[in-house]
Amino acid sequence: MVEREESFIKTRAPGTLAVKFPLRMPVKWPTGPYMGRFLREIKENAKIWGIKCPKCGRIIAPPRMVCGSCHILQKEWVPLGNEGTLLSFSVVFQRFTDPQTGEERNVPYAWGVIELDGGGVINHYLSETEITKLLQWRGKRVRAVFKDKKDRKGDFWDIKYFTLVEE
Amino acid sequence: MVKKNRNVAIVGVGQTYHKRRRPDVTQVELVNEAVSAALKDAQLDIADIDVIVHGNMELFEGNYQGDMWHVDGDGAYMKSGIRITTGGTTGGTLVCATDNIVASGLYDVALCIGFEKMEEGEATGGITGMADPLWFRWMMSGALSGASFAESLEALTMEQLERLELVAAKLRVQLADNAARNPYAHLRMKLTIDDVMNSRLLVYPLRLLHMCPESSGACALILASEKKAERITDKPVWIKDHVTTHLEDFVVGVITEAESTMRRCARKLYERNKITNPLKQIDTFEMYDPNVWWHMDWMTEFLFLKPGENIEMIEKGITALEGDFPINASGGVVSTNPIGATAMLRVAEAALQIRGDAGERQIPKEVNTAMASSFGGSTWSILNLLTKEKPM
Repeated sequence: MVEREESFIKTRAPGTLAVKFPLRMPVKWPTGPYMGRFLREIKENAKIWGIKCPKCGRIIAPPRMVCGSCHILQKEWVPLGNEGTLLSFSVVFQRFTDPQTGEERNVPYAWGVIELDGGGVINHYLSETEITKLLQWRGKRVRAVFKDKKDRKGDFWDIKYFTLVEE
Repeated sequence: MVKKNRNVAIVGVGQTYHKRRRPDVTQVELVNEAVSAALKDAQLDIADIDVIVHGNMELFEGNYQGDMWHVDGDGAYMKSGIRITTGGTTGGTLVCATDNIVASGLYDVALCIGFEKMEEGEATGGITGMADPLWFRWMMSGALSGASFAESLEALTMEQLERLELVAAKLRVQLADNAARNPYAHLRMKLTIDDVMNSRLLVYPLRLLHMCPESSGACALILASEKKAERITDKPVWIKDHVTTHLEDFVVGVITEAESTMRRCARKLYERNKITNPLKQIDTFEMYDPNVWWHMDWMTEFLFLKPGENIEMIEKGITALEGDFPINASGGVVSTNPIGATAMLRVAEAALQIRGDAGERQIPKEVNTAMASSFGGSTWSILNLLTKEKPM
C-alpha cells in the first residue's frame, strides 16, 4: 500500500471527489449514484457491495450503472463480504510520476486481484510486498482492512488494503 | 461474409527510423518523414491524396489537436481529414477507418499517419492517467501492470514458473535477433537469455527486457480503391477484412469475461473468412506484443492454441523468422514502440512481407496471407487480414 498524507480533498460540490496537486488542478469527479453508494457503504458500515446484472448474473465491483455486455440498467445490490480469495497479484517496483499528484509514486507497492466470497472480483492494495511471500498467498484467503471509522472519508482508500487471513 | 462495397489495397508504406529520442526534429517534421516515405514508396504526389486520417495518443506529449498543427507536415492543407485516437489501438483503428472510408466510395486515395514522440512526455504516468480517477488510477502503473498475465500464475508450481521465465527469455532473444535485421527497429541489440533473466524487475514478474521500449517515430500508409490501386502499383496488398472488439473499463472485465477480446476478435475474423486452421491458412502474424508474457498468452488467444502449445512452438522455433509460422519478423513491439504508430507498424510490416519488400527481415517462405493485431487499454483488440490475392 502506498503511504501518502491523503488521497482526496473535500470539495464544495456534494458527491464529488478532487485530488490534492502541488499545482492548482481544478478538476473534480462526480461519484454518481452507483460508485457513490459503494463508497458510502464502505465509509459508514465497512461493507463492500457490488451490483448484479439481471440478465447475465455477472457481479461488478465497484458497481457501474450499465452492464457492458448486456447494456441494461443494474438494480440489484448484493453484499460481497469483506473476505475473498487472492487470484493474482502485482508488485510495482518501477518509479514514475503519479498523474494524481504530480509527484513520484512511492514504490514498491503491491495490489491483488481478489474474488470476494459474495461474487465479484475487486482490485486493491495488499499489505505485503515480498514476492516470495505473495507467491505463497496465491489462492489463499484474504480480508479487507478498513481505516478507523473516524478517519474514513468516503473514498476507495477507506479500505487500507487486503491482508492474509491467518489460519 | 465480409461486407465491403469495394476492394481496398495498401499501395504505399512509409516509416521513420525509430529511436528513443529525436530532438533533431519537431512532431510535425517527424510526421513528414513518414508521409514523404509513403508517398515515395507509392510514387505519388501529395496532390494525389484525397483525405488524411491522423492519429496518436496526445496525452503523452501534452500537445493537443495534432491534426491541426501537423497540416503542413502531413499534407492535409485544404484537404479533408479525420483525427482518430483510441489509445494503444490507434494505429490499427487508423487503418480500419481509412479502409472504411475508401471502401465506402467517399474517397479513392487516402493517407493515414500514426506517430508518437515518446521523448516529449512520460508513458507510464500518461497511461496511468487513463484509468478511473476514483480508484484504479491510484494502483495502476501504466502498461506495466503485471496482474492480468499473473492470473495464469495462480495454478502454477514454482518449477512451471521457472520454465515460463526461461521461455519468455528465449522469446525475447528471438525477437531481438529479428529486430537486428530490421533497420527501422528501435532496440537492435544482441541479447542473451541471461541478459533477459537478470534485467531488473519492473512489476513482478515483468522485467525490463520483457517490456516494450518508449520510442519516437511515425508510420504512414496509403490506401487506394481497387481501380486506383492497380494503376498505382504492381504489388497491391489487399485489406481483406478487419474486426475490432472493445471491452468496458479497465481490469473488471478481464477476469470475468468468459472469452477474451482477442479470442472474440479472431473468432469473428476466422468465421467471416473461412479460416479453420489459422496456423496453416495464415503465413505470418504481426502481433502487438507490449511484453513477452502477453506475447505468449495472446498466441493462445488469437491462434486458438491448446494449453501449452504456445510454449512448445517457441521452444521449437516455429515462430522464429525461419520457422513455419513466423511471429513478429520485424522484432515486434518489444523492440519498437512509438505508441500511436505501433499498431499501424504491425499492418505495415505485414504488408511488406506480402510484397516481399522486407529486406533482411523478409521471411524465407512465401507469404500470401498475413494477420496484424492491435492492442489498447482495457484489452481492446483489432485484427487486420491482408492478402496478396485480390479478394472476390
